[in-house]
Amino acid sequence: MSDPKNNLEEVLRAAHARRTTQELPSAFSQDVMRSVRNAGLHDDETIWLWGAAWTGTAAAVAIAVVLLGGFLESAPGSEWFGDPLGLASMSFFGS
Amino acid sequence: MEGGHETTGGEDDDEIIRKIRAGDVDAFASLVERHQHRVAGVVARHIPPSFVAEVAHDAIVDAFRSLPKFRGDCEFSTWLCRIAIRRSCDFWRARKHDRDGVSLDEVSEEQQRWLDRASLASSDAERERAASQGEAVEILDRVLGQLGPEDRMIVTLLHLEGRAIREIAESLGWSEVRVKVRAMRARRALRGYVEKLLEKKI
Repeated sequence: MSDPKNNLEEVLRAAHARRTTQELPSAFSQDVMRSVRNAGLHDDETIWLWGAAWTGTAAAVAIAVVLLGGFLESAPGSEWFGDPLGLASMSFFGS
Repeated sequence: MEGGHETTGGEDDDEIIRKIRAGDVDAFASLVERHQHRVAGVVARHIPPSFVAEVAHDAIVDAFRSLPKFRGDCEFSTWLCRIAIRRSCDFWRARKHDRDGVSLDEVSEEQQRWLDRASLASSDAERERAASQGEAVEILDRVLGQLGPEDRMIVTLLHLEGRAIREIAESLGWSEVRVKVRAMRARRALRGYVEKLLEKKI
């Protein structure tokens, strides 16, 4: 008598082979193309350029904050209007 | 899974891909029309029928987004089917907690009777008869539902479809060694679940 486990596995294999693909929705290709037009190509160079641009912008903002802090601290009359954002403490210029 | 160098109206896949890369996004529609059923066929072997269109859609959009990475070292259809397989694996990864609710203990009387017949089916005709019954896919999905996403894919590709280790490694983006190791583990787990099902009835 053959092994029941082997028999069952063979039947399951045959059942898998019988899986059929049902029809795709009639608007499938139009839906895909709609998504494709919104997606854009996933170009590595484009991603790299965008990453570099964002990094550069972030660095420029950080430098501006530090310089502004130094300016606020050293500006004439700064003791009157103070430094409401606390930028002076972030300055490299010191107190 | 492998496709030929397909053409429509004199244009083969490579020519269409060149047009898309040059900015003609609408040219991709020809590739969708040509390959959508093949992609759906691949996905349907791994995913429940109600999700096939959704996963096939996502796989084709992924392929479009990744076109700059397509080097042309295989047929476009082969590359597309690999993406479809990875997307199918992602589908199960996203639902890996769902399998906790699928139990081998909850087998109906009809399924038990089917297990009796299937385990005694020793001829090809008996196996085919058992495989054609609705309980066959129910039990198959129940057994596969016990496996983790990667093990499920390995069992399906290697043990159910008989694909080569190298092909599976390329499809999943794994090394061949990793596929072999996972295949052994998955096979052992599958065998254990089959035994568990049969212990309940014998």
